[in-house]
Amino acid sequence: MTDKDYVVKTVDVHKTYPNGIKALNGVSLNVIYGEVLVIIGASGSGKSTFLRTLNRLEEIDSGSIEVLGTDINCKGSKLTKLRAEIGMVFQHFNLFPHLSVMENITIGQIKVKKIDKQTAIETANDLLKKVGIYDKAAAYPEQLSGGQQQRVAIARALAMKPKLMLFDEVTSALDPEMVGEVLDVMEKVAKEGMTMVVVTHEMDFAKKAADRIAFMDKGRITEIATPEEILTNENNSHLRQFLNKIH
Amino acid sequence: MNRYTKTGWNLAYVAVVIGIGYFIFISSSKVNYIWRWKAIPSYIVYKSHDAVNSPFNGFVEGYKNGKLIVKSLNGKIKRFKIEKPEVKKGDVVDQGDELGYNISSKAGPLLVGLYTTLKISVIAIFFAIIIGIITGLMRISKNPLLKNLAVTYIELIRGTPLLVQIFIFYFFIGTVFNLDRAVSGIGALAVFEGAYIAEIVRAGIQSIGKGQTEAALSIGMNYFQLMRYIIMPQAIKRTMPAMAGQFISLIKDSSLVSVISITDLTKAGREIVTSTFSPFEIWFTVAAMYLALTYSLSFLTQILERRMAKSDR
Repeated sequence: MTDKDYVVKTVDVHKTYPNGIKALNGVSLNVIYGEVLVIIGASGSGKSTFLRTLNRLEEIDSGSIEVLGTDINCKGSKLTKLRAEIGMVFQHFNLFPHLSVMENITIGQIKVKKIDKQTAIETANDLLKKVGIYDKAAAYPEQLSGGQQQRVAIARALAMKPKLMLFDEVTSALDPEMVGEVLDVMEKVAKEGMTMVVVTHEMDFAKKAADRIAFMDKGRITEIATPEEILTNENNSHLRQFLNKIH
Repeated sequence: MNRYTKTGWNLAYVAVVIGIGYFIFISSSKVNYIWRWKAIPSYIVYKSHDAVNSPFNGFVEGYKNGKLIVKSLNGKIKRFKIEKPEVKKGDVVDQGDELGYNISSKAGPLLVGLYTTLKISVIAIFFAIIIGIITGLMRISKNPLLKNLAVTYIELIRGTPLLVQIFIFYFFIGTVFNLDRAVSGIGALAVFEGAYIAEIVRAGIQSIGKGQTEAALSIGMNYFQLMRYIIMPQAIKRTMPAMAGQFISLIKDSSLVSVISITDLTKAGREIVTSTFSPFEIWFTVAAMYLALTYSLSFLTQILERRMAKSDR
């Protein structure tokens, strides 16, 4: 396997926050095309920080990160172009409240990718159908439920036709009855062959959709294997403890 | 509080206002002052008599349908639109003689002053917004050069009186760069209010959650697009009340430019006082005119705010 087959290739990534907390302590990881990688770990283990370094929302202190063949440590238009190819969905949705659902999904296409408005609207409509809220195109985010907002956020990210999708605890802020509808959409996207890195506590999703699960502990990946191997692992006591706690 | 007590307090309010008014009336009637309210309207709008003079030597042929017909010595006939003729048929007129006059309404010095105040304020607001947005963005920049420049500017401006700044602008900067007094005045106002608007802009931008920036960056927006399409539209809506307050301040602060001989509303008032010795009436009128200006502005922004609030429900 050559470097070109990797969507994400990180080598020995370190990061310490200004307050002295060591978030990442040597993370090396590769993700190949079409793979769904789920990252699990206790809160404070660095999994969200790591995810956010992949599109450089978080700077790293040392090590290297290459995404889609580009060093993430690039500048200007190279960085924005790379970010446009990496979709990201956040815990708190982060929809643009002053824009309608339709505008939320089309603004990136029109302003960043310079796609004409008609095409952008068609793409948006297809995506809204896919995430099951076709009838809400004219609504504003605050008129939607949390589950609906998160599905719009997924559609917004997919509208950029990304080659990699990052999901940062996207169901943690949802009411329990809405978790399912969001996970269903994510599974659908995974089945279509999208390369995904997912930080989550939803082990059912991990079991069903993940190709590999990485367990993060104190800023390191201490285990990375298929879901089966992770769930039956008896050697890593921290992993065992973590799995028992969330079950 | 039930409805009746509320009505009671409202009546008490009216009574207090009337009481204060009566007190002012009584105390002012004790000073030896002759009120001349009648003269005041003419300083706002007055009837002007515009004389019409004969361009040549000739005879008056007659006056018909508001037009005076004059025949020149070489037989040329000319009609003049005159409301009040002062010559009659058969009169001989020489070149330059007054044939009569027209009456027209002209803006008095107070209205002209109000217009100057409005003009100065609008231009100053325009530049203050530009200065404010740029320095507001610099203020939150991570680049120490930009940030320190912005902080220095804001601290210098907010730490010194506007009156002193106007003098510096007029006597120092105005002399060095050979600026017109109006440019100096508007410049001083824009630079002064810009510092306050910068702080409002900064607060507005910082009040928008970090998640908005992250979401915009994650779909590949650059800094300009992030500000233009995501942050600013939200920040502007949030800072509308503070901005409106600042604009109202600017209109009031603009009265200080009268010290460098710009004939704004305040200077016009002062000039009339020196010629009429009616300071009470003039200053009350000037105050009322400022109030009309600031009140219309706050009324306008209220409508705008309501409309903006509707747009996102």
